[in-house]
Amino acid sequence: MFSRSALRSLASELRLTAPSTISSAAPLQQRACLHQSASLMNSQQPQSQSTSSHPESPLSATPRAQDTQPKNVKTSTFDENTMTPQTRAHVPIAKQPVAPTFNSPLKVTKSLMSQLPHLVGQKPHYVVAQLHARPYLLTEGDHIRLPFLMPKVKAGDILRFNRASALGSRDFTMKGSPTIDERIYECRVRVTGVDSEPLRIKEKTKRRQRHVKQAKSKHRYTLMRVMDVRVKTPDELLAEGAVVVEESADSSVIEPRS
Amino acid sequence: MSYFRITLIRSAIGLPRRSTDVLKALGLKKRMATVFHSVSPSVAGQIMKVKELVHVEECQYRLTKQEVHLERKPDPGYYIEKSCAEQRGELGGQ
Repeated sequence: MFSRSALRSLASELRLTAPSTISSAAPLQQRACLHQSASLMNSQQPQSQSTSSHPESPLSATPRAQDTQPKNVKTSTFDENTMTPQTRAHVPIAKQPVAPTFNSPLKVTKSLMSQLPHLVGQKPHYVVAQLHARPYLLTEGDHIRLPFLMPKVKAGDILRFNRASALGSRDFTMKGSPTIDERIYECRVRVTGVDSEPLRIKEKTKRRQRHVKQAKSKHRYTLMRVMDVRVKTPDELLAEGAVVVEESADSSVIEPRS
Repeated sequence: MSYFRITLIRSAIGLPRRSTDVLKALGLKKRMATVFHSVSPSVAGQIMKVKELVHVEECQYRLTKQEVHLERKPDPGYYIEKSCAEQRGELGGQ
């Protein structure tokens, strides 16, 4: 029959021995695990670098920011080819502000090609850019204050506006149906900052209640400056691989000012 | 398999109770709401009851709510050509 003290001493002995074994084993395991993860990281790093468009120099420490080609960052993990969009997060890539990729060369009609030099020669140009289907008439040097805060842009970013319904100069206008192909012109815009309106306080009351709720709102707006509005010359278009075709129904037309 | 694409154009306010109930049975709760029902005599009869209020098309696929929304969503019309971080990287590289 064991006394309580004997049991306690046995227990303390056990406790003394057990932690020591644990403490001796655990760091080893941890170290092993860490080492494994480190080796995993070592083995993964060159792979990831080689996939990031630097196959000839896999160990060079060039950051991703120096890549010249714009990388297509998908905002959602949604594959539009396989899935049907179910929730509001599922937006196909065509409806996201992502640099476009072209499968077919630009098709320009003969008449447009013949009239384009008139438009190109007459500066400055204006463009009616469609931003979320709202038209903005822009010329080089304009300051814009968008009526909304543009997501995921910072001051200093350069944007390209690629939906234009009209493009023109003093005497000529190129009209798209409904938009002009974005490879004919370049409209660059630099984000200059964020504007914010003064804080508005609206007092919300209900009838026969003394309680007054204050609804506050302070909207923010993106500020921009138009860097350049440029129409490409026919030579540039041909150099970029444009194809001259006969008349087609859905082509842009240049109209002289009447 | 073809479907009716039914859009409620006019509300049933002020109409007999029956037309409101038919709209409810079709799943149309508010104006401009769109529902899809497979083509069948019973659905056709329901549509006939409220034919003055709805716009009906026949289509091959049942679209999800988001797909119906995306039909109306315009293109953003812009993309980020060069972010400020990229420009800074270029300046540092020179």
